[in-house]
Amino acid sequence: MGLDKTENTNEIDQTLDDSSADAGLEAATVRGDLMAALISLAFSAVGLIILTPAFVFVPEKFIGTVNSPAFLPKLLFALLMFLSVIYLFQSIGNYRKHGGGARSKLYDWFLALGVAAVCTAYIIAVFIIGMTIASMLGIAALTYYFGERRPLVISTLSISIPIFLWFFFEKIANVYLPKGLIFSSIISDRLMLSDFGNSSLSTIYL
Amino acid sequence: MIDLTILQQSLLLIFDWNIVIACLAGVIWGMFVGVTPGLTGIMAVVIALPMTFFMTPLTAIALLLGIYVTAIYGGSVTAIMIATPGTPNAAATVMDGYPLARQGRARQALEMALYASFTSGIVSTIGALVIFPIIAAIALDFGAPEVFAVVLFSITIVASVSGDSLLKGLVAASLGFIIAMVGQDPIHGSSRFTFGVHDFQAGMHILTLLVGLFTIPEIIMRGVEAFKSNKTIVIGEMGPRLKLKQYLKYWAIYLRSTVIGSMLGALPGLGGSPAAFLGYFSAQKFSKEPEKFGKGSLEGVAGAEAGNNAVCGPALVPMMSLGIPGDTTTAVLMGALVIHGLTPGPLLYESSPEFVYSVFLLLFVALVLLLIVGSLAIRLAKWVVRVPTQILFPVVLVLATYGTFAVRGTMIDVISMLGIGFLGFFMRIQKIPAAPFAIAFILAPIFENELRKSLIISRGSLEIFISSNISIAFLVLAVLSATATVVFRSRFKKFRLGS
Repeated sequence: MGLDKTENTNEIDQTLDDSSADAGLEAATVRGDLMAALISLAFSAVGLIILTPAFVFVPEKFIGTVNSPAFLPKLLFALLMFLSVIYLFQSIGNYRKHGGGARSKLYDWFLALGVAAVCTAYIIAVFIIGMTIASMLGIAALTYYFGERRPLVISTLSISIPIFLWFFFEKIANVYLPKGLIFSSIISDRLMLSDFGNSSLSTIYL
Repeated sequence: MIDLTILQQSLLLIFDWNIVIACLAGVIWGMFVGVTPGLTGIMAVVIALPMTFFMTPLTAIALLLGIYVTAIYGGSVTAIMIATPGTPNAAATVMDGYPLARQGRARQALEMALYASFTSGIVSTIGALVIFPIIAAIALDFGAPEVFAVVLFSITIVASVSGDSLLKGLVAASLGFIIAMVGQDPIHGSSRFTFGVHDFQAGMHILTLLVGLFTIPEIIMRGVEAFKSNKTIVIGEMGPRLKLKQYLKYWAIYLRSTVIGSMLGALPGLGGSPAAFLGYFSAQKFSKEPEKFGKGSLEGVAGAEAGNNAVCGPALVPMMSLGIPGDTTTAVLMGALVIHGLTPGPLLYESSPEFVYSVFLLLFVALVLLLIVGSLAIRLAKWVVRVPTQILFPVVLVLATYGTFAVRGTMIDVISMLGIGFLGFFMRIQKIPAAPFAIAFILAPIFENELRKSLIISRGSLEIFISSNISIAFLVLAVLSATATVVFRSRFKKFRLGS
């Protein structure tokens, strides 16, 4: 199934605007505000109580001083908490007044999650098969998902663009692209994969 | 003031074909790098630096200045066409440039960006040339408390780019500030929120955040739209050209943004991004149609682009006159001069004034060449708007990934980009504005650095912030700006949630 020919531009612009408006995704809801406020409040509380004490190293002589590395993070989490509380109260007020508002279309959410999943799969694939081949597959998968069905268009794009980018970055700009776990172990024995937490991710595949 | 005899000698020096061709090569390379997400102006200059070893000092500086000036504009082309800022300086341009492209007015947005960049570049360079010694002297008066006061004033612009809800804008700004805390603390080098991952030590790169925040949500939204549609969707036509009348109409915006950009350019460490946001903010503040900002306003594009390009000329002033580089790119330019046996500083002006003047004159040449090459780039951009969404956005994702990786050569940036992208997507759905998030992230490191340096100097006393007239003036401006916005908004109940 090929794509229909592009119609009048103005009509298309109108379609874009309309589809954005009724996509169901871009319509902020009171229920959504309530959820966002709760997430923000929880994040600020975790940041203030757990993350800052545990993940900010403070030299002993600066503990409790304005010049402590933890001073600004603490202040910011406290500010976010304060704002989140106001956000939450306003959202509750709106909820009581107007109800939850229209729900976003579930179908749109599935589609959005689909795009997000393909994007995530592409990034994971970079770790395994390298950036060039992952990009070939990524472009093919996304163009297909977005509705392009012509094999010639998909294959031309998915092959030519990653090869051009490989040439530009590796040969001209001297930026060495990730080769992936599989190919770096085949190409050389310089595989330096240690555990995720303590290693530099850039050394995995170069 | 300008010494006309030296100026005449400098003019004779720069009208050499080798110099003009080197400048043109720099402009073309700068444009290419600018439109490629992930390759920043600094990278373009660094890549070209080895080539200059075999050139005369003036030819070398012509090539590097061509890159320096053009990469800033180049970044706005992709910001307008595909919502992906090519360089951090284009972060403010994307807010109105991309909506204009979506409305079928891409050509106007691109032309406005080009002409505003050119105008402010020319005016700020004239200013830098004429008041070269004065700016240098004023810049010398800016210590940590003064720069902190300027940044504090800049932060008040968050309120004006918060859209319908100031509260949501403030929440977004707080999040931006918090994300900027990841990495090493700027004073003691202590790790903050790195969770044991080495690549987090350097913090999140600004381009990673910008690409994630603006590009990934757009890819998801357009993906959903393309999936649901049965027909080819394109961004639209390039639309009408910018009329001379439209260009002239915004002269006050160019002027204001030029003054802002020049001031920030002359101060070490601030750079083009804050200048772009302040330029955008001032354009909105004085606009008769402020409600159009963020939805596709030519004034917004003009303000942002005039602001970031006005930085170029004045940024050279502290470098040439005092030997203090204004930003990373000017630091590399300074390195290039040193390589060629010229030491920037007060003695350079004494020993070779014609060289100093020639550098500023070369900026004019670079700007004229930018106008020509930029016009050609706009013609080429028409191909982008004709590419269907189904094809364009998968390619944009791949470009964004390559670009983000290329900045520092680490995959943690790509993962962070995706994470910020998903956060940006949910923020967009809930109408939590992205601009305050980006502004806070950009300003946070300077804010913290200057605040803590000031407190170290004063041994913890806050009196240092009111110890000079400059910092008092900017602190008063910050308070006035914040109060005026809150009072104005509360009058119209805009502090409350938009829904």
